[in-house]
Amino acid sequence: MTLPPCPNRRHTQVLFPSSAEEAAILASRHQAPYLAGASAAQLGWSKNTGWPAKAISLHALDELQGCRRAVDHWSIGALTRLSELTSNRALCRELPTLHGALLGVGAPGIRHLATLGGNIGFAGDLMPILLVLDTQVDWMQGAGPLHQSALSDWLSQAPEHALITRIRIPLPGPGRQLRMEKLASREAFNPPLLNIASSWQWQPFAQAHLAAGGAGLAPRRLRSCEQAFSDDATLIPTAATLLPLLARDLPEQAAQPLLPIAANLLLDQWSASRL
Amino acid sequence: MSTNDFTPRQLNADNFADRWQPRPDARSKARGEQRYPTDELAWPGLLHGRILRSPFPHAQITGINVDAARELPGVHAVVTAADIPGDNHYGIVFRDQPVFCTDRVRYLGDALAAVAADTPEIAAHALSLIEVQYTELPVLGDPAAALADGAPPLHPGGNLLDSSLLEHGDVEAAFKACAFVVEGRYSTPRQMHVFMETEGGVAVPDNQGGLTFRVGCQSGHRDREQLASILDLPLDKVRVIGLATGGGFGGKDELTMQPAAGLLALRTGRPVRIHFDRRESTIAGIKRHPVELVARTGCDAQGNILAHQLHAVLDTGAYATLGPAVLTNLTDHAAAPLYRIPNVKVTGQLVYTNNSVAGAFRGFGGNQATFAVESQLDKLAAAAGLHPAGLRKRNLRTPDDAGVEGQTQQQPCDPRLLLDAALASPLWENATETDNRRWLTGVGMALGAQGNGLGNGLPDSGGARLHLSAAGRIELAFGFIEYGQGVIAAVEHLACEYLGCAPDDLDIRLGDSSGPDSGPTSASRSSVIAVEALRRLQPQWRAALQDIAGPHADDLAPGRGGLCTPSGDLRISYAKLAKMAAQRPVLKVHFDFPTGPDATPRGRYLQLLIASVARVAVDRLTGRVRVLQLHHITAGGKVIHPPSYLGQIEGAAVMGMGMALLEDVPMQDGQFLLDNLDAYLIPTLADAPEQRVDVIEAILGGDSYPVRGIGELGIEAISPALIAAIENATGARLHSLPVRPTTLLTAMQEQHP
Repeated sequence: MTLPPCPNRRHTQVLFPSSAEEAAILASRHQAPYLAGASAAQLGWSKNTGWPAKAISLHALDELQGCRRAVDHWSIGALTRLSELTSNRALCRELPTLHGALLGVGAPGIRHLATLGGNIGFAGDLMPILLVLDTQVDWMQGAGPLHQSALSDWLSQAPEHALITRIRIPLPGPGRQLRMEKLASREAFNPPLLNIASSWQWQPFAQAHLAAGGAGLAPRRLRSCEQAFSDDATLIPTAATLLPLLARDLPEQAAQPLLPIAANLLLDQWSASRL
Repeated sequence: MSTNDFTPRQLNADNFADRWQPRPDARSKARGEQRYPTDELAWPGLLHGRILRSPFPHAQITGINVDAARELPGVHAVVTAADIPGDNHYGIVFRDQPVFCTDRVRYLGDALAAVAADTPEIAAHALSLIEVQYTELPVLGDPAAALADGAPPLHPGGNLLDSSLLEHGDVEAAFKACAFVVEGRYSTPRQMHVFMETEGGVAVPDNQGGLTFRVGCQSGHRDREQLASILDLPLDKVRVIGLATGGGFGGKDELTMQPAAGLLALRTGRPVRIHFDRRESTIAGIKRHPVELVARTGCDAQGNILAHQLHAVLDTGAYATLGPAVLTNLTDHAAAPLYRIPNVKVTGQLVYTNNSVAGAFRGFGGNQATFAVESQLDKLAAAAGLHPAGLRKRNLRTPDDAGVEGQTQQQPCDPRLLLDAALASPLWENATETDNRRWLTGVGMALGAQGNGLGNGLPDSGGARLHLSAAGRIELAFGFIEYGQGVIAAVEHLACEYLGCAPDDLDIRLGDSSGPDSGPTSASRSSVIAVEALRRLQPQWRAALQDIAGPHADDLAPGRGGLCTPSGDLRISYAKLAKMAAQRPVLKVHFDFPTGPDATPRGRYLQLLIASVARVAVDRLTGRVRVLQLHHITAGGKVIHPPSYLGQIEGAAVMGMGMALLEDVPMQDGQFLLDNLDAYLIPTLADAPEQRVDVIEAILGGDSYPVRGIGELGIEAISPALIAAIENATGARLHSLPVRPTTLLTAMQEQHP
């Protein structure tokens, strides 16, 4: 492990696009990362990877700001600070589980800097809850058109230097229950060891959306587990039955000590949803 | 010595109302007005220094070229070992650590060169231009590798830096007579101090060939000697001012940035500031020794402990610093000094490796050993079918018993008082509740002992200076450094008590090597030195002031504002006394730290005791541990400043929680597996539990040494108390710290398959 080489942060050339389209073009042309809150980016760059030669600042792009309630979903600009979201009472009321997840990200100082788009771009703490909420993302790449994708699809094939412009979170339908738990080392301000989120619906049909993320664990939907619940609405899971399913969904954790914890948390969330 | 009926009382503002005052530095710190060593940015001509550190844990240096760095605009000096005018080595016990490496680097972080430049960025850029050729060498990544046959020696004497043996009786024969014997393998982590202010300060040349260091440190006088030797300067040309610092805990006991900053300042003729960022502090800074302990303990059928054997291996990293002293203290604590055990054998090995340098850290080896010892007693009690407290009560020492090496010790009270008070703790009520969904609760306790002073006959002395200034101020100077532990509050309160003055009459001067040498600000010795100094100064001070006041002043005594009548009325102010004096008094004292009556002191004479009771909750789903409540019963002598006493006990306990549940700097093949606080997590305020501290202030033996240093006491018994509480909650006993949720969950599942 070496101390960072020069050039250091002061040698990074920051470009200031005047629109989201221009930002996407510049990022693609220069193979440059985006700068939003940069709370996670700075940490990564200050370690072995070194600072980028160029970075695209999104700070002046008002079109990427704002959190508003549409008819059936919340539309949140990618540049919206997490602290703005935690203080949005309507959002907290309608999506309390997301609110809880937001409060678990870093500490207040971090949340004043960090953005929702940045959290997605760095596969952060919020990914599992966003995944089970069937979140959609608007994004553009280079000079191409605006796309809209399910977050889970975007994750599986994240386009290089794509710019997320807006995050759309559908309102959970009636009867849908959301749960999220982050296992971390201490009570506050820490990265997750494991993050399990779930969305359960039992009527009129059983549907489970399940997701995981955590330390060294790329966030994803737990498709094998979801399939098991949709195949058998009467399934009464146990830790033992969930373990092989989780091993399929999280192969890098197979035979690792976090897998039983994931099974316990999923089981706990299932139990709570049945009450 | 007769038994005593001291009883603990809870420490709070209600029963200490007259002494529950803010610290003298509370306002400036709370308002952000306190200036720290790394805030010294306004020096005219200030240059910024950076140190080049090794990227390899073990390598031969085959060449170093600084030409390109020297030519970078904005760079004023680049120095290497070739530029060291004096001794290129430092170290408190053995001077084995090079200021700048010459032929070999021994750990990732070893220093090779330093740069002074106009800005920190230019200095950093200059570092990247220094070319060093290395030939990598085999890495000794742990003590076993370092002690293996054929392991390359890291130092001329080999890789076993030191070993210890403490023995009495015949353990092998005694084990044969035991009805119950338990064994355990324990491990404790490589913990970091994580002081809020990392290592740093400024070296300022005085344009007469001398230097003043304005730095964060723990022993300005001792550092001055080392710096003079390194820089080849007369002692009177080197001055170290230990400014009020943002945390020490032992991590600033050894030299840090001072040699490099001093050399650059001499070379450039300008002030040079060096401030480690957190990453550099993580890599280059001192750590707590990680220790592997293997123990065997046995008792007869009634529970009398007959034999105790323990072997400890300490990874001291690349250089010695205070490692040998840590080994000695660990060995003492590993011999179970609180208990009467007729047959004991403790051995220890202090091993050089290519890992991070380990040295002084609050607890100083004692708390690692206490973790193993108290855990062994819990296991032995379980094996013998005895209550853990019952086993302890049967075997506890009395205050009259000699120490583990037959030495005389001054105990604060009968340890049974603490054990009884711990058993009476309200934390035991509803000890094992079960939240049906998630959380299992449990309570556990442990006992600990701590000593004050450097111990073991090491040269240990201190002094003070008391002076009436021309303006009528009482100037009281000690060599101690205030690094958050509250020595300034202690000195202020003690001065008022012994000298009779008001706080406003005082100017307290700390940490200046041109002043009195009070010895290092470590080993929980400062309060004892302060009391002894003021005891000696008090009659001299009174006599000197009465002398100034002239005849008929015999009935006057130093009081608030000046000499006062017996009823407390002010008669002659200090300002007037200063004007009256033909020669204003300058009083100095210097004396040895109390080491007791033994011809050859062993261990530490002045002792303190603690019992810690812990209530925890364990998540049955994840294995996470929450510490809900802590209750400490302390016999630490007289409480000088109640808020500081609480702060020290509670803060040390949370630091111990960190060691037990969270903290470790893992290394593999000499590489750090983390390098900053994003991955090295310490407890936050959200983790700090509700704590209660009870005190037994009275000391057996009266007033001989009424005050003890309590800076390390709170960390002593926390780890075993938490482990006992976790076992009480879950049935699982763990031996390796920190406790990881995954490990605990696995252990719980093995208990209840």
